[in-house]
Amino acid sequence: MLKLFSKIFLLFLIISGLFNSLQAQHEHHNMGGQPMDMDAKKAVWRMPPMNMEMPMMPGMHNELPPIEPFLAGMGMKKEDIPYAKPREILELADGDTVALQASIIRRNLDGKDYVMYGYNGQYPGPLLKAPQNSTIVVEFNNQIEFPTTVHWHGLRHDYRFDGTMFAQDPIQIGDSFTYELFFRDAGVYWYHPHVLEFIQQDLGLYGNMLVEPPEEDYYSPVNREEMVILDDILIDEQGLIPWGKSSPTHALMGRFGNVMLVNGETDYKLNVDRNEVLRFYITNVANTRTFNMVFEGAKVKVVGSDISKFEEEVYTENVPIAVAERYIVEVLYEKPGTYPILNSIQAINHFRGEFYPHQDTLGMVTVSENKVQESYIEDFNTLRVNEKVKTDIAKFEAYFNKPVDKELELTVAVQNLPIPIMQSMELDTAYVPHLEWNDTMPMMNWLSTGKQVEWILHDPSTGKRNMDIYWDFKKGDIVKLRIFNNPDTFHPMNHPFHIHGQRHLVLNIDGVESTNMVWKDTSIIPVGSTVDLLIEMSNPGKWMMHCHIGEHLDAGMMLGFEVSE
Amino acid sequence: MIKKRNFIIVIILVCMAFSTKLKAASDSPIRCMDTGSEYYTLDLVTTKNIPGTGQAKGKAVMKFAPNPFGISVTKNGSFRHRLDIQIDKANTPKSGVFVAWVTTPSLDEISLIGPLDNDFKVSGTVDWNKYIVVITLEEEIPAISTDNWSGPIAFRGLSRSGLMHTMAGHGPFAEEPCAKYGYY
Repeated sequence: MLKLFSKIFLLFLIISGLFNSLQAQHEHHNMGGQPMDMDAKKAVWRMPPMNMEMPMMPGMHNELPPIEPFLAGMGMKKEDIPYAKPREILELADGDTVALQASIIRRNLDGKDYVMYGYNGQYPGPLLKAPQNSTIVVEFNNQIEFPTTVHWHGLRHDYRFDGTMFAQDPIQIGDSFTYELFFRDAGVYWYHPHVLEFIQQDLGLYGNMLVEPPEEDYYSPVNREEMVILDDILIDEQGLIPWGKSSPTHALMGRFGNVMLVNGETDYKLNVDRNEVLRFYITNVANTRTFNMVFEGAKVKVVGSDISKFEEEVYTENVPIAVAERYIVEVLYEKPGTYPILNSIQAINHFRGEFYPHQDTLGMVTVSENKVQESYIEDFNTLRVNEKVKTDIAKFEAYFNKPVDKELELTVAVQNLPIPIMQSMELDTAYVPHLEWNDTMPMMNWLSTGKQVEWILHDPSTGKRNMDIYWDFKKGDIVKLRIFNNPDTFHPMNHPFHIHGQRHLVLNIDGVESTNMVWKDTSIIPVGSTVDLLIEMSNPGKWMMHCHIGEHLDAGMMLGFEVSE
Repeated sequence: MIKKRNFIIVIILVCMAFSTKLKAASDSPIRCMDTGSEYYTLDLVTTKNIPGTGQAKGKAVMKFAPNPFGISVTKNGSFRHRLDIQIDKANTPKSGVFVAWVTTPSLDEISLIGPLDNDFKVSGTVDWNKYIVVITLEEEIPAISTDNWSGPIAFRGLSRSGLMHTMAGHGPFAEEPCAKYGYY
């Protein structure tokens, strides 16, 4: 009896020891920290939510980012913060003036309140609709907790209103600034801060501009137009995961959210009639996430991107869209039913060394039995060749094979990262994908900050890097820029590369020539790839080029250039 | 002294060796059809099962298939690559044709790329993130719908993604039982 008891006791000890050992791997995954109490005065770190199947690296349980945490509205009374409203559409004419204010707002997502930021108390910011070649004035006022500016992404206008450090000093809390916007090109654009984007933009400071062409038949006729802003946000049971106040967390891969937002909401829904054709203007405003958007149950046609239409329309099954890019697509729903709009990716389980399919539902579309009153199916079934775009691009063909004018190598340097991260990264970088679709190592990523990680634009011809680079061009220069995303670095990553104030063509990726071109302001540079861009230096001023992943930008990945008259 | 019979055999063998039609300059490095991302380029290794391939080796260069978005991705999120395959230092087989295939690591799906041309090159598309390139010697060019090879394997190579490390039960995760993650 005593023997049996001692055996049972021993077994109990073994099981409880094993349980404790396993539990220890996850002990901080849902770490308490500070509850989402808006009246609290100071933020404290809470570990980001993790996939419980993925064990945490030993030795990292008690690590915290070595920077001060930040949450919006700390110390404010909940009742004093107004709820945000859905965005308004502002139909503007040439010469109009708009008031725009950045302020602290309260959002309700899935029944829970969060303190965030908004333009004009809205989510997203108001949609500015303006005719092509018009000028509008924006009287901006800053009521958030940081100095800020507004960058008008994609506009080829006066650099003094570009919102960068070359254009203006940050607008202090309570202060105002007057922007003058000129809408040179038809299409969809967006605005966002150009100071601490990784916080301010992530908290909701973004909005669209829709520049309407004078030609009525510029696009094919459709039954409806929809503005879609894709975003994600990082939340746990207690609220928003704090940001680094002076320097970003998630500096390696950027801050992926775990809750998908379409137009700032988690439950995007559309009701359409059978055979309805919709035109979607899609913008990706996430800090780092590239989406692979799938319209289930529909046929999809790609019409345009950042600054122009494509030379030729093409059908597609999905729309991969990197940070800051825009795509204009037309979508036909022919059969009644309810269909999801998905983000459909192959995620990576680094622990098992596997890809696995993963889908997030971005929204739902219900197609009624009722036939749409006016049918545009015939137009949808015709693929347009955009002769004006072709003619415009043909003017630059003579430059396609010119020698490379400028080169950049994209790389990264790290220092003082926790040793388990260093070791783990060395183990895991035998293979790096072209593109990181999701946060596959949330703890390691979270612990990497802008104090330890420097993302680098390196000019091999001069040896200079980041803001030590300042290139000079003249108006009218056609510049071939070759960018190589070096895979042999500590942690290679895709970079959505944004060039301010000008337009560019993607000539080729790894020598594969683009056969259907479109004017861009932001282009993805995949890991290991060499991408040739042809930039038309059409707009004088002092400008920037940078990676648009908020954390990478703050961790150094930007340079300056000037276009003189 | 070398026996007369052995001497004749050696002479015949030397003559045969020089008469062999080599497809690539023996000292020239392997050149792919075009530049690509070197990082993702696959090495193709001979199985030495086919006469005339003992010294041969090859490359498969991965590039994004042309598309409107810069990166080419399928509806399920897999990358869509153009594969440019080239074998060097191989002899033309006396009969049959070299044919390129791609297959998943578990060999549960196989897709035909196509027959290698006279320069031992072929291009095709692959829609998987992790895969194996297989070149077999087939009696004749298979129909497009063919979903498996029937000849012996001459060359094979694993996509770079095959290097992804499985940490279950190893190194810093030694305390984690492999079985928890499906490994036994």
